[in-house]
Amino acid sequence: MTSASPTPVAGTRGGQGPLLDVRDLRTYFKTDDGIVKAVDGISFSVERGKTIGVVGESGCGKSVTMMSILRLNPKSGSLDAAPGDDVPAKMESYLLGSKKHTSLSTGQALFGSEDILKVSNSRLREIRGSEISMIFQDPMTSLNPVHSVGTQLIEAVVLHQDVSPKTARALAIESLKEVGIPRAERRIDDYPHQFSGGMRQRVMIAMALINEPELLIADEPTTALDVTTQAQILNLINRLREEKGTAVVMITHDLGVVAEVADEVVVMYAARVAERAPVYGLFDRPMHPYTWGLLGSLPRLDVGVERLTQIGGQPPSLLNPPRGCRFNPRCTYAFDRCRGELPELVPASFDKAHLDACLLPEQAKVEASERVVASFATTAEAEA
Amino acid sequence: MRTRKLLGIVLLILGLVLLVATAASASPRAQKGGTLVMEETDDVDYIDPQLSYYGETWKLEQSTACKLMNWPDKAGADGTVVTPEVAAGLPVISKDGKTYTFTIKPGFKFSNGKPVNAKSFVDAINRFANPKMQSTGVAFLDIIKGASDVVNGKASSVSGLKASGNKFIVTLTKAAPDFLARLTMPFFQAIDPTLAGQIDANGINQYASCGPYYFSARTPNRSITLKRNPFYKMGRTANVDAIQVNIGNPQPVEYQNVLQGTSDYAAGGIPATEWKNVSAKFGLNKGQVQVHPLLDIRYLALNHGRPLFKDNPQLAKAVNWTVDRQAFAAQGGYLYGQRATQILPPGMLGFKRQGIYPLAVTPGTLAVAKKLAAGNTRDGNAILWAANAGVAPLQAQLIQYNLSQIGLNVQVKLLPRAQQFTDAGNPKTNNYDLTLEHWGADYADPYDFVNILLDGAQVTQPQHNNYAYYDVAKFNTAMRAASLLVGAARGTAYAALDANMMKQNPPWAPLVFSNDRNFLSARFSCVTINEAAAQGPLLNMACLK
Amino acid sequence: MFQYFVRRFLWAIFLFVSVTMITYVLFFLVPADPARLIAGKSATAADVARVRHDYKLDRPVYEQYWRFFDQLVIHQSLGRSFANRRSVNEMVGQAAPVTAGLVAGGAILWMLIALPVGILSALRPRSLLDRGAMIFVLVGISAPVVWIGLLLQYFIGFRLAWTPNAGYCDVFNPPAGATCGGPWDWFYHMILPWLTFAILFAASYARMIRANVMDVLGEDYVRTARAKGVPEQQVIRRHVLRNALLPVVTMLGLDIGVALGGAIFTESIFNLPGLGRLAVNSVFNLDLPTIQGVVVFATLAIILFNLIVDVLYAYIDPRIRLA
Repeated sequence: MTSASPTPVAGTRGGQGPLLDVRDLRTYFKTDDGIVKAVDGISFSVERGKTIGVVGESGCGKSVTMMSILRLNPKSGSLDAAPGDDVPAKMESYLLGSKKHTSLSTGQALFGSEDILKVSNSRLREIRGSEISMIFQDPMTSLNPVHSVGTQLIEAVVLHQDVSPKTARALAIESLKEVGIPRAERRIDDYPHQFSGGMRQRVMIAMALINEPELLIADEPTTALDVTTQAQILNLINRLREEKGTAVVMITHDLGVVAEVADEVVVMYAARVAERAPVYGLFDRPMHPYTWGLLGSLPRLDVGVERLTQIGGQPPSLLNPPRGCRFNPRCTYAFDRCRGELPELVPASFDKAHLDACLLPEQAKVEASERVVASFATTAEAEA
Repeated sequence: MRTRKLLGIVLLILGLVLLVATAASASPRAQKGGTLVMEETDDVDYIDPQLSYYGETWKLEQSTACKLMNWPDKAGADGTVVTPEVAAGLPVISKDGKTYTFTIKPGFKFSNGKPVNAKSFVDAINRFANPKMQSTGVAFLDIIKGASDVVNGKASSVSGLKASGNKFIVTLTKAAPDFLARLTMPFFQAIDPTLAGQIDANGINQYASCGPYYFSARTPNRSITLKRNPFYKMGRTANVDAIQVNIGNPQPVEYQNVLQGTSDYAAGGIPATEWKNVSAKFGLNKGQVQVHPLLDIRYLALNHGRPLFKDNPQLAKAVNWTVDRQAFAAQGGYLYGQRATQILPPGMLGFKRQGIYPLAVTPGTLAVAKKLAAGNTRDGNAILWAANAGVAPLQAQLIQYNLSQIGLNVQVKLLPRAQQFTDAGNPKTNNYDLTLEHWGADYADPYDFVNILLDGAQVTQPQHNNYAYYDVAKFNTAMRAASLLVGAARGTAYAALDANMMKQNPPWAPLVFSNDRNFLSARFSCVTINEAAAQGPLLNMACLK
Repeated sequence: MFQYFVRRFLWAIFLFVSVTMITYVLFFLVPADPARLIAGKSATAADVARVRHDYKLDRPVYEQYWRFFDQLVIHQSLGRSFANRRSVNEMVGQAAPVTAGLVAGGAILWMLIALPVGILSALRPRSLLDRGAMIFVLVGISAPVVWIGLLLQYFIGFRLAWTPNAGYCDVFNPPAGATCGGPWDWFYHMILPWLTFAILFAASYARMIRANVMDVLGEDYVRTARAKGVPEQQVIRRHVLRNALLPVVTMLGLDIGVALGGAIFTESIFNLPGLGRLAVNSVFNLDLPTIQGVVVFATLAIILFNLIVDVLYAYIDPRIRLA
């Protein structure tokens, strides 16, 4: 809505307000089959130094949300919307009419007082890799195979810091040491294929943190790794976060990871937020049927079962999402309002920071949640 | 005293005046001098006189060589009369026809200043026969006594040669009136003592020659340069200072070059489809486009050794009545050649227009053909061989169609040219009834057409040129007898032989006498076409406007 | 690495022997008799036999092959041509630089065309530029080289006379009787041949580069680079191109190796005295030693370039070098 305000100095964002405030973010893609509404009205915020866990099934829009924030979607257009506009309709007609652009994001991603979605390209490049960093899911393919690790690290440094090549190299070696790569002085000149998967992810983390960003977005950083390595990486992220005070957005489909590291959890379903709560609150009293399904489908160590509990049905298509609440076709608690009305996030009465988007009356939800929690109380206790 | 002095002065002045007058008259008619630029598509084989065998090289050697007997620098029929050059006159021939005595005319000099004498010719023939030279033209030597021995390594010099003063004496193994014509081949030109001592099978690329020009430079595959022989003063014209032969440009490029004027003569030819255009544009035989008949024939050899044509004169005649010579010629493009209905071509001694068979196909001629063929087609099937490249496949199809009209079912077999004549000339592999052939004279004598191609003695040789497998006793006798005759009698005898063979039992269906087509630049003048000597314009006569 | 080299070298020798042997056998399977051709059409059987003996064509094939091989390896000689008895070493030695000049210049030209066309098309897929480029590619690959060459020769060489329409000029030592020579003449005469020769390759390389670049643009590490804040130009240069062009290097090496065997069409149309024209003429003349000479040279060139490409690839792709 407003264009970018004069460039603030990075890292000196004032102490007021959240570090990142995403409001009503929408990202649509134009495909041969039609308009895919990958992100359809998402809002959340990240406080300085805190970790947000974003969970959801594959295809619910978690990654796209983050890519949209950093404007990494290819062939992206732009649209100014006045208050009162029917934004989704306007977005659709924009995409259908555009020859060049195949994706479009609207909404706000306020980083301090700047809206990242609207800043200039040069400012965006300044932010990327230096104020907000992102690491990706597959460490095997996320590093350029023909450049040494050192080259790629130094590239990250030189882009954002005004230092001599010698200093840059020293910084790179230092960052490798920090992430726990042994013999960093020698390994710095090695190529990505000479590292194992876990090591590569460490390198990615080093590269992301070398410029001491205020926010690190980690898109399923451990999904491609084995369990032991996974634990190591999570510990590493945690430690670095504590040491440097970096805020982290951790995207994952694994509730276990969320329980480990997150301060706050955002549960996404079908391009929208289903529930948003502080982590303990989420596990203590989940308030959305989808969350209940997620929790209920966790494997349990204490009870042997023939089959894991599934949430019935299929994830919805984002081309033609169901009318009304998007979860309603799979929801055992759905009633007639659910089929017609799209629910908004509403805070719970017992905690303003705990919001959910379900039309059930609060009391019903609380009761149902207690039942769900009881059924895996033992497991939760064992993990806590 | 004073009168003598006065006379002297007057004579001096007269002499000066005359000198000035001749100088003035010799000054630029713009006809002497300059470099004639010629193009060839492919390189010549050698320029070494005893090795070179390509027609294109012989074209050049016509300007560089001096020979005992040569073709005169004249156009048309006048140019096909064998005339003494280094020989002072016609040789004295012994009664048995085996010994020839030539008198050497004085005054011929090589381009290095050395004189030409009788030994120059002895050297040439000895070098030619020398097995170390590995010359492939030695077949033409077999008539000279002692030559075969040298060729086979049994003697070191040819016994039948003698150089005595200014006399050059040759003894033959048998009487051969075509011997004088053979001597016009460049193999027999005079060579200087240096070249005589250079025995190298790879060919010598620089040597002195005694004609109006000499080879001054040769880069294989790239170019050949001829320059005027400074020591030549024996009467033949040498208009241009130099002749530059550029090798390798494909025909379209040669055509463009001559059109633009950057070259003067497209000796490698121009694209076949362009002849009509240039003839229309420049006119025929008025300057730039010169088309003249060659001593060359394209014919359909009928295999008299196989059941279809063996003792089947009626069918052979029928074939001659039915082939469409017009359409056949059309396949080769404009001015490809003239229709042929006999063996000897126009321009050849013994040529007499016979008119035995029709030049065009009409319903009338077809009727005659069918009548002749009726009952004589034996099993009705025939195999026709033709080359698999150029226009031959088209021409074969045409003949196939023609012969179907008289009830012959012809199967066409296309072969690579080399394989075609190799297998055809081998009595073990001549599995055809008709073969489409092409023959050009090595030298302008009917022997090279009739005896070489139709003498029945050959058909049992492992490799020969009698593709018609024609072995008729009375004609064998007649052609051997004719080969011993001289002058007009020779011509008459061969003409009669031609007519009789074609009338009684045609060995072939002659199709076309090829034309020599030449495209010249606008500045190329003094055009003298001599098909016997050079197959094209005489280079020494050429001048530049 | 050393072992790798040794193995490749041994394999190269084996390849060489096989190729020359096969060429020999194929030649003798052709039914035409070279002795007959050499002897001329008026030759008698005795003459043909003599020629056959002189040229040692009456020996059994394997003996002739052994003689050839011995001559080649011990004396490093390719023998003498049947058509004109010139030394084949000399003929190949004179022809090779001509072809090399054509191929080198052509390669530079085709890369100069293919790189920008391929890269720009990949960066702007389905744009007007891209579609235009792909039409160029289609025409360039489908149009016969001969047709392109003749068209260029006719319009540019003959009608417009902007360049000579055919012929070759040596850079050093123009031969006796040559009408041109020196670097400028050489360059001027090579313009049309280079263009003709390059078009086909330019088209197919443009297509290949476009495909490679498009592939690499979708790679994860490109996304990482962007997320680091690398400017787009630098992303293309440092991250995309180096990866996209790796396979191009190998293709280039192989294509050059093969082309050194003789760009037959281009050389024939423009009268360049190179290996291609030499090969064509010697085939028509059934000139076995020259055919063999060209085959030997071409084989060596291909083997050598294969080796170079293997080494080069190992060097520039760290995944192979440090495997």
